[in-house]
Amino acid sequence: MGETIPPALQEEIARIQQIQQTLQAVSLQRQQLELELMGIDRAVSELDRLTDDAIVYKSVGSLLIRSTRQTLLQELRERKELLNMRVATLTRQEERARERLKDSQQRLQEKLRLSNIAP
Amino acid sequence: MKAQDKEEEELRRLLIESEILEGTLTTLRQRLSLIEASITESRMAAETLQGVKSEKRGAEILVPIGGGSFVKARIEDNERVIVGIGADVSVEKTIDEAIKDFEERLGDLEKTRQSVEQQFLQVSQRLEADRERLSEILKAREGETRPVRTP
Repeated sequence: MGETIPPALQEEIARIQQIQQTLQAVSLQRQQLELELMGIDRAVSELDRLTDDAIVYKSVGSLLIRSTRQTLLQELRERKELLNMRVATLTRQEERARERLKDSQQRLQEKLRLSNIAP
Repeated sequence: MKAQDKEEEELRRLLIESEILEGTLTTLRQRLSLIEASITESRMAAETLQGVKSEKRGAEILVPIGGGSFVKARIEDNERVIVGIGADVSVEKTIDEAIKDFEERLGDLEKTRQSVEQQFLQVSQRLEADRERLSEILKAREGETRPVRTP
């Protein structure tokens, strides 16, 4: 207690912190995309209730541009597909980071155990 | 010795748990303020729609452009308005439909607010209990160490 931490342990701790940061960033990004997906689902269900002659607009910057229900539904479907793919990629990245974190934590525990046994 | 280890373990658990609970409270507080902002916005929109509905076509209005400035305009249509439905899509609706939508949205937001407030209360109570237990352990420790110090 009170002595300096051995470099090997410091390295492992730094690695764990780095993985935790990556994990946090990736999961935040995934959550944001999932929120966007929920927004798309809500808009699609609203558009589904309308008829093709409904007056609809699309936001472009600060403007609203007149569009058609079918065009918007198609665009939303495409955006949803793209977002789903990105969510899948991020989920895989998250899983990998979690595995690396587990390995690193195990290695750290092993190193701690060994340094306790050592005189 | 075993009891001491157990207490040490509990102390560590309480410290970690309190930190996590404090983080949760911060997140819940942020969520609450977002929900409250949405409630204010939806109320304002519903109120504006009621106002537009009661005006005659051609009535002179001032449209805010920010910076406390306004542009003069006239109401061309007091029956239909454009409402955003999310995902950068907006739909033309009758004013009554739009008002009904906002009322529904307000109802949902109120329900969400109540549930977040409930969660906030539960987490606060848990945190309070953890803090009490922490100070109990620390006080008991002080009591234990005192007789050792005095000869």
